[in-house]
Amino acid sequence: MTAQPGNITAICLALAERDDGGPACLLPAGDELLLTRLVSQLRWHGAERVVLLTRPEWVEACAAAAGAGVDVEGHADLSGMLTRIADVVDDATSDLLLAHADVLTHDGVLAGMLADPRVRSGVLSMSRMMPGLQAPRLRISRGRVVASESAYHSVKSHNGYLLGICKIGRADLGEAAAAARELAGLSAAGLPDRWDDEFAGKVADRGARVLADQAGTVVLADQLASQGPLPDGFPRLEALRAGLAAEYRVRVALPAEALRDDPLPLMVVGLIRRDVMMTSAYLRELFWDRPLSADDAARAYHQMAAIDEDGVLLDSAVKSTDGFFTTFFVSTYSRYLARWAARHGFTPNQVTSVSMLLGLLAALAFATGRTAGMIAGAILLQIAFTADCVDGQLARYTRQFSKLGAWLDSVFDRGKEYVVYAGLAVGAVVNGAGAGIWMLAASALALQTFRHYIDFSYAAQQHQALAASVRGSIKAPDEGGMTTWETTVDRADRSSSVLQRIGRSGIRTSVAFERQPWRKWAKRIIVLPIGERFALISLTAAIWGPRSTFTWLLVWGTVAATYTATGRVLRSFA
Amino acid sequence: MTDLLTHYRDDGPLATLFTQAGPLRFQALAVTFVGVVAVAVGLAVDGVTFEGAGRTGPASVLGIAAFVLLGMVGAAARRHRRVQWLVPPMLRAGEYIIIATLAWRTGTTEMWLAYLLLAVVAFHHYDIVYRLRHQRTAPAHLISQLCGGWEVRTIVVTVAALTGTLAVVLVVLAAWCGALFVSESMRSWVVLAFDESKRAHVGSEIEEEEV
Repeated sequence: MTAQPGNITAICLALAERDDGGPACLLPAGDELLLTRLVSQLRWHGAERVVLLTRPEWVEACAAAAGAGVDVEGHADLSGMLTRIADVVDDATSDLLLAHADVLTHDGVLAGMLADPRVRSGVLSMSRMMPGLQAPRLRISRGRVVASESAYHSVKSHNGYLLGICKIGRADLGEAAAAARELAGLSAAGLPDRWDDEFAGKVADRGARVLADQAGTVVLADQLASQGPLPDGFPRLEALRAGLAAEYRVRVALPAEALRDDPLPLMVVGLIRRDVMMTSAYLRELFWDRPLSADDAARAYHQMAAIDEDGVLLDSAVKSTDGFFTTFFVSTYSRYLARWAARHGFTPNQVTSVSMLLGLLAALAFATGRTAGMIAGAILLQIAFTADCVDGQLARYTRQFSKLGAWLDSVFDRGKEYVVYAGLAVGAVVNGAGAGIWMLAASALALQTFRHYIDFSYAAQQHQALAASVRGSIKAPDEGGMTTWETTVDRADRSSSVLQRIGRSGIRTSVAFERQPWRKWAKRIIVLPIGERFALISLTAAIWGPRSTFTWLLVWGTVAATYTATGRVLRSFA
Repeated sequence: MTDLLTHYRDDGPLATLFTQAGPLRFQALAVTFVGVVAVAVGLAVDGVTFEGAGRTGPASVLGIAAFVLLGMVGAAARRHRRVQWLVPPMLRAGEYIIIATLAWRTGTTEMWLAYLLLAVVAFHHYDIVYRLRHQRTAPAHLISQLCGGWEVRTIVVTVAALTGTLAVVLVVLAAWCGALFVSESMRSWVVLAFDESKRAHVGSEIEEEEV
């Protein structure tokens, strides 16, 4: 995989303290240290300037470890650090990355954030349960982060966790600098009302949660001890208490202390409340951790090494939203073709072009009107479709995303399909069909474009409702008073109409229906996605001929359009 | 900033005139829907009862007129808060059905020429969406002036069908629009390759993928 060019600025934060003192970022990570490993990863992905902000007493140690080329600076307080972040942001000319210096993660994770042009500004997140304080909570809605936690900010509800890496796109640097200055001003003047209460509450709550099991054991042991001598082999009370204290230090006290002065989550909250579109980049099955002790670091490194990163990347190159036919009959082998293509240096655009060419050949074969031609066309169309799956998987696997590539892929998909319709019509005319066959072809084209426009328009309106605004004041520790899109929806709820109630129950039914996997796939098959459509074209054309292909496309397509439109109208009202 | 759904309408110069008339009190979704129903009824009635050349009789003309007029009113009418998204697909359905049906009733040559025109128009309609998605800009405004938008194309094809010049008009329209749509789209990619920063962006990235 190739390194990405670019003059990215990276700000690393070394604030977490390890259990035996000193910065956690100097814990070992295999042959290296967490810090040196991260810095070389960042360099590899195009970071030209790396600034490390740390506590004044750790500057020397960090500078010695980081080596030349990394600006190591000590800041005694949050406000100084935020002011410095604002200055660095001002100087940045391209994307900027804000990351904890003690993060241990796969290369592919950083590549995914930095190389993917679809993430302009965003955070690394995961949805697996993270009980501690090291990963603040997030709420993500349709890929956008709409609320985030910091030491002093809470979220109403959460469905993800912030993993200490935040990317700020070039276009959002202005807002980022403003957010950093606003936060610096607030923290310099003494924290706003209720901020300290919020932090104390969070530490107490999360601490109790993390240690619930161990604390229970200690209480139980205390009670047993009060009733008489403990049985042989029962852990000694002092050892239990000491263990609990050590556990508390690593799991709660140190993370809490690191969180208190952590500008990163504050910056994320600031950006969100300034209405910057923050995308969520998921960790998926890759590894992430922020170890705070040498034991944890060794264990984490071991766990990370055990993960087959290439396999995970290849798996996640396959879209989870693909249809039934694509998922089970094409992606099962096309991912290996994608890997083969990657190893032989093919680009996604080359594969896309080959796919279009094969589509044209299929259309020509159909246009002969002969039996052999219909069969050849059917096979060529299937090969073209496989190539079409390979190009996207190759792009995701090698992270070669380009705007033109994405456009070409989409336009060629449609082009292939409608050229094949024309080929089929010509083939029928060769065999003596009249204007009717062209009318069927035109109807199939019109229906398919209509169906796509239902998708496009619905997505656009949903997207705009979501993109509306999540603006709010940074001073409020909770989400109260924020004009989120959800509160607009809440307000609408009060004027609940019949349509709304039908819509709600429709969604409930739909969600309940999907509990069994085969039903989920049934729903995806009904809407006749591209894989099913191309398979249908190949089969019907090869067996019965063009007229049957168009009839099937029109009948199934009409059912699909009715089903989709009904569902989405209900969803719009819910 | 114009929003996505407005771009998706693909309004030409005539519909744009309506928007300048100011916001109308009608509900865009309702009037557009009535227009689509009118066109379906008109074309169907002529198919059954009218025996003239090409079967494009008064009912078809009335239906098409209603669709075009109401669709243009929809450009300036109130938007539905929840299901405004139904409007662009309806405009697609109306335009495509009219072009296909009028050609089908005229002759075999016209019918495959109509397929060609539909393919060209569909390219443009997909291009609007995909360029907004991947380039974050819509096709140039000049294109909708030169190639008509849905309403002008519908009117031109209908007049051609009534005056018996459908074949010629379909060829000219497909060639003219095809050349402009494709060349303007290619130009935008060349421009993007040279300079990305100077362009005005529409909305925020939309991360949907259709199948």
